[in-house]
Amino acid sequence: MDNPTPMLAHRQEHDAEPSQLGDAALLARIGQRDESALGLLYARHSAVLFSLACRMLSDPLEAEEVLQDVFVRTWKHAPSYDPTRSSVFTWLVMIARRQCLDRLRARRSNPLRGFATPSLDDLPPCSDGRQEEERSYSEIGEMVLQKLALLSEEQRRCIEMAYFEGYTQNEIAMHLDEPLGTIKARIRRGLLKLKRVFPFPHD
Amino acid sequence: MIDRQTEETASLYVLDLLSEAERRAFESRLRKSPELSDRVRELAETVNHLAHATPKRKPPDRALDAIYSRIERRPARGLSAKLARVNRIPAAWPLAACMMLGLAVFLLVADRTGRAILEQDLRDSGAAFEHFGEALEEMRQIERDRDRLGDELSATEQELARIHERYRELLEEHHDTRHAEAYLRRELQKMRDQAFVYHLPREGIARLVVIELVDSSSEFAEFGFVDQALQRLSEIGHQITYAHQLIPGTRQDDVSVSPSGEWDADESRSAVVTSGQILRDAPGAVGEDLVRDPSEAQETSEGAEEPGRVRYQPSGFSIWDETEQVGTLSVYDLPELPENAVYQLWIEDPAHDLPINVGMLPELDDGTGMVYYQVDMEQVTPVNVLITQEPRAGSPYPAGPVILRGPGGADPRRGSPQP
Repeated sequence: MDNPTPMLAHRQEHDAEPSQLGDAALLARIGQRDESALGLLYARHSAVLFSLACRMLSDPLEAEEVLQDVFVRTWKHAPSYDPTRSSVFTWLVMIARRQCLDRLRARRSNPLRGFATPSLDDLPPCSDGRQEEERSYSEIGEMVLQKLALLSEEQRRCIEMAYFEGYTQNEIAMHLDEPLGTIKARIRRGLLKLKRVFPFPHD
Repeated sequence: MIDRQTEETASLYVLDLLSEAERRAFESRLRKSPELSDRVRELAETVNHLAHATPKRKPPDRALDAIYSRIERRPARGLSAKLARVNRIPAAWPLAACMMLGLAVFLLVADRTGRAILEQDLRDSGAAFEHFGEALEEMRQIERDRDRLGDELSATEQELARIHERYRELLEEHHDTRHAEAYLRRELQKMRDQAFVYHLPREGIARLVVIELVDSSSEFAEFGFVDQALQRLSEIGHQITYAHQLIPGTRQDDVSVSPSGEWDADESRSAVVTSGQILRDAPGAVGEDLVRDPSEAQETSEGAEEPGRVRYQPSGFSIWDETEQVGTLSVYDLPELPENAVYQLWIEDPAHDLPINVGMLPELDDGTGMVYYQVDMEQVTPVNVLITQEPRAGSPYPAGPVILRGPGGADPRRGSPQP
């Protein structure tokens, strides 16, 4: 079947039910101050973003703050979203990661700041009332873990320390007791290998 | 065309690992290069798949309500818009309420007789004046305490900053020390390995043949075991004699070292000159490089070297026990393999025209380690050992580049070893 013309596609998208719209179309509606579109985008991606923030920060309260910040920023900056630079999912994840990194690096720059935080185990698993295992992953999450297993242990460790734990290059080198050049090379090779096994965009 | 260095910077960029200055410089390049921009997008899409690789957590139900309460709602038109603008002034409604209350009190008081108001107010004002003085003094005391605590806090913050700076310095020193320790441990291990080779023959195990492997690309590659032994051992005044055909069937020259001619040929001892001694003179193998400033980068034939990277030259040696028909291979610092490639070990035996395939080396940490090997043939006498880089499936004959060879026989692809 032929693709619809751009004009027709635009009209179809304009007339479509919000729940049937793609992420980019939802973001366009958010730019027009459509709160229901924000709710739909939240319903689609909040669990992944919250899970990511929980893993990075190990603090559900801070993770919730990050989640709120992400969608408040989405509301404010939706008109500036450039679809040629990233998918909406990647855009959201980048905002969330940046928020988490700022918090992690602020924590590390102030070593005396420490306080008790609620346990992640107190949080409900992401399900619709069904009983899940304590560490369950989404279907795509399982697939990503399988792809990650294709990396060498050293490459995976470097990328995870950078991505999830927010360590800088120098901190990773110090932590693993390896030269900085080795760390950079491992990250580059690891990402190139991942790029080959993830050939598709998110949207 | 995106070079390796740029690709590496792009990888660091998508992981937020660049410093502020590096990030700005890279983004400036991004704006000028659509190809680089596409590559960064691909890497960003790739790396953010990792967000899925986290255990699923459901955000609290209150989160969405909190978001809605935080977002700026679109103002309506007309009266609603004006009310909305008033709503944005935080104190507008309380201020209006206070004004209304003040007006009501004023009207109520004005209704009383002026005299009664005056007497009562005079009494109240005297008492109030006393309380006012006490409160003023108390407030001043609080201000003094606040200033003192502010000073203490400032001093504590400065002290904390000094401690933190010292902590970072110590951490860096610790890091350097650990590198130096690792280097010394590595050198010690090499010396132990060499001592093992050197001393075992002295215990009477004279049937070991020690084969030195040298980097085939090294300018010292033509210097074999015997040459090095002669050169090194001559320097310390030992008498060197050759023991040709010491082990039947070998063409390997074993070197016997006989201080003052004390031992005869039957008690000849094998000696070894490891490539470690050779490489110590070679560029890029000095220990000082371990603490090289990471900001310095050396240009090599392959382009800019990674900053702070210490390059060791590959080296190794092999010991073959003829009686047990088993060998050990010790290698150091084999280069990192490209994808889909393996290191394959070969031995050359005068009785065979072609190199004998021993097998593929297991994956070694940092290209360093020791492996035992056997050959599925009877009575093999290796005179040369080769390590080549081959495709992952392995090769029946050495076809890839020779990484190490020893003790200096001819390249098998150029013909049989020299007798």
